[in-house]
Amino acid sequence: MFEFVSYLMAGLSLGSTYVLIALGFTLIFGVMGIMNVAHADVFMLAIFTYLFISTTLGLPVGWALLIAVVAGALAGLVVYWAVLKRIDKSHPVALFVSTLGVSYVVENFIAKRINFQRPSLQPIFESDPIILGGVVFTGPRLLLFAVTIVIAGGLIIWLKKSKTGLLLRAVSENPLMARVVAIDTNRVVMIAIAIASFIAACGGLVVGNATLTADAFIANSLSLKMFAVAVVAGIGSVGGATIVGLSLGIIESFTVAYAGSQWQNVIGLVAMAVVLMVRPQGLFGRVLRVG
Amino acid sequence: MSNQEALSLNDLNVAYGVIKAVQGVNLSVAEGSITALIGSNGAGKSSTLKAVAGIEKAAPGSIKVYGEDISQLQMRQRVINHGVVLIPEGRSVFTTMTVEENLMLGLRVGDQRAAAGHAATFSMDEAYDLFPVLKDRRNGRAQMLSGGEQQMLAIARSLLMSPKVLLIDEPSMGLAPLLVRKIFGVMKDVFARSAVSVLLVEQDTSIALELASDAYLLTHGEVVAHSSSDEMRRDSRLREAYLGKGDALGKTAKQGQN
Repeated sequence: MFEFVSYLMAGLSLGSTYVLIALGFTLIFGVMGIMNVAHADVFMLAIFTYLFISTTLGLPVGWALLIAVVAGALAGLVVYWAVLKRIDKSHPVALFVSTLGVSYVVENFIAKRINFQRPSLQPIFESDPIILGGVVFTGPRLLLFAVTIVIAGGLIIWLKKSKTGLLLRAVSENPLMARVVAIDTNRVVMIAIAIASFIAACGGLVVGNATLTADAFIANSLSLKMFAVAVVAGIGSVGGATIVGLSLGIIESFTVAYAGSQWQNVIGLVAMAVVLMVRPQGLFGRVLRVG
Repeated sequence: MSNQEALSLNDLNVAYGVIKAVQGVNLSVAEGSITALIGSNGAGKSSTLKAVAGIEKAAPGSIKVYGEDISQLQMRQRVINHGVVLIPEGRSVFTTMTVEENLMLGLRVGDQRAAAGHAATFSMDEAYDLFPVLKDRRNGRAQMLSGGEQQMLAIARSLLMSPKVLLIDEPSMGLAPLLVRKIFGVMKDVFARSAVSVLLVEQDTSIALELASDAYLLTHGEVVAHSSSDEMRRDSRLREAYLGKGDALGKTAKQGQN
C-alpha cells in the first residue's frame, strides 16, 4: 500500500510535468493550427534564466523567478515573431521543421554556454517533507502538483468565462468566422503564445525545484511526451491534455515500478498509436475546448 | 426611402490566379433597400460578396460605402469603421459556443462601433425579442440548434454588430423549402425595421426576388442584367437564357406551397 501510494505520487509529479508543457502546446495549436516543437524549450530556458539571474548575477530568488517567467513568455513571442509569423501556414511541414530547427539552435546555444554540463540547482522553495501514514510527501512534488492543478484549472475557467477567453475559443474554432466578427486574430494569437509560454516557464521552475538539475537537452525527451499527450487528448483540448498528461505520468510510474524502466517511454507511444487507430481526433475532440 | 447609395461597386474585379471570377462589376445598393445578386453556380456572386467584405482581394476596382472607398482596408476596419457585416454561407455560427456567447461576439463589435461614434442599432434584449427561440436556448450550445435556428442566430449576431451594409451569402443553403420561407419572412420584417441596406446572394432566385426590390443577374463574373425584382421575375426570356429552362424559379415556388 505504501509502495502504491508513493508510485502514485511519483506518477502525479511526472504527469504534472507533461501537463505543464502540453497545455501551452495544445493552446498554440488551437489558435494557430501549428505544432510548435520549440515550445518545450521555453521550459528549459526558464530554468537557465533563473539559474543565471540568481547565481551569476546574485539577485534575490523572487526577482530571479519573476524575470525567468517573463523571459519565458517573451521567448515564446520572439519565436512567433521571428519564425512562425513569417512562414506560410499552408505548409505545415515547413513550420514543423522550422520550429524543430529553432529547438536545436536554442538547446545547443545554451549547452555550449555551459560547456555541455548539467549544473545543479539549489532548492528554490525550502520545505520539509510531510509524512502521512508512513508515506513521505516531499514538498517540491506537492508544489509541482498544486501548481499544475491551479494553472490547468485557472486556464480552463479563464477560457470559459473571460472575454479574452471567448476570443481565443472563437479563433480556435473557426479563424474565418473570427475575422467576420472583427476579432484581431494576430493579437489573440500573441496572447495565446504569451500564456502558453508563461505556463511552460512556470513548469520549468517548479520541475527544476523538484529535480534540482538544469539540463539543456531536457526538451528532447519532454517534447515527445508533450506531443503524445496533446494528440491523445485531442489536440486543442485543454481539459483533455490535463487528464491525459496526469494519466500518462501515473501509467509510466507504475510501468517503471512493475515492468522496468526500459518500458517507460514505450507506453506513451503505444497509447498514442492505439488511440489514433480508434479515435483519430483524439479522446477529447479537436477544437480548443474546456472539456 | 432615400436614394442615397449605401454601397456602390465600380469596375470590381476578383481573380484567383489566372481565373477571373468577377470582371468589371458595377453595382449599387440604395440606402435601406435589399438588392439581390442572382445567377447560376460559379457566376461570381459569392466572390463579389467576399470582395466587399474583405475576404477576397479586389484589384482593380473601388468599393464605396456611403461614398468612402473601403477597398484598401482590412476586414476588421471595414466592419468596425464602416459597418460592413458579412453573414457567410453555410454553418456560420460558432457551434462549440453557447447561443449567448455567439451573440456576445456580435455585441462586442456593436460596442466597438458605438465607441467609434456609430450608434448601436440593436441591444441583446431586442435581439432576443426578435428571435424568441434563441432566448429559450441561450445557454445551450449552438451545435444543438437546427439549421434554421443556426441561421437565425447568425442573423441576430450580425444585427448586434450594428451593420450599415449587410452582406448575406446563400441564407437558404441546406435548409428545407418551408424553413427558407420562414427565414426570409423573418429577414423581411427585421430589415424593414432597421435602416440597414442589404446585398443578398442567393441561388434560390424566386425567393430572392420576392425579398429584394432590385436585382442584378451575374453570368461568368459579369453583370448581364439589372432591373427591379418585379421586372426580373416577369422576364422569362432572361431566366431561360441565363438560369436554364425549368429553373429554380418555377420549382421552388411549387415546393414552397407544399
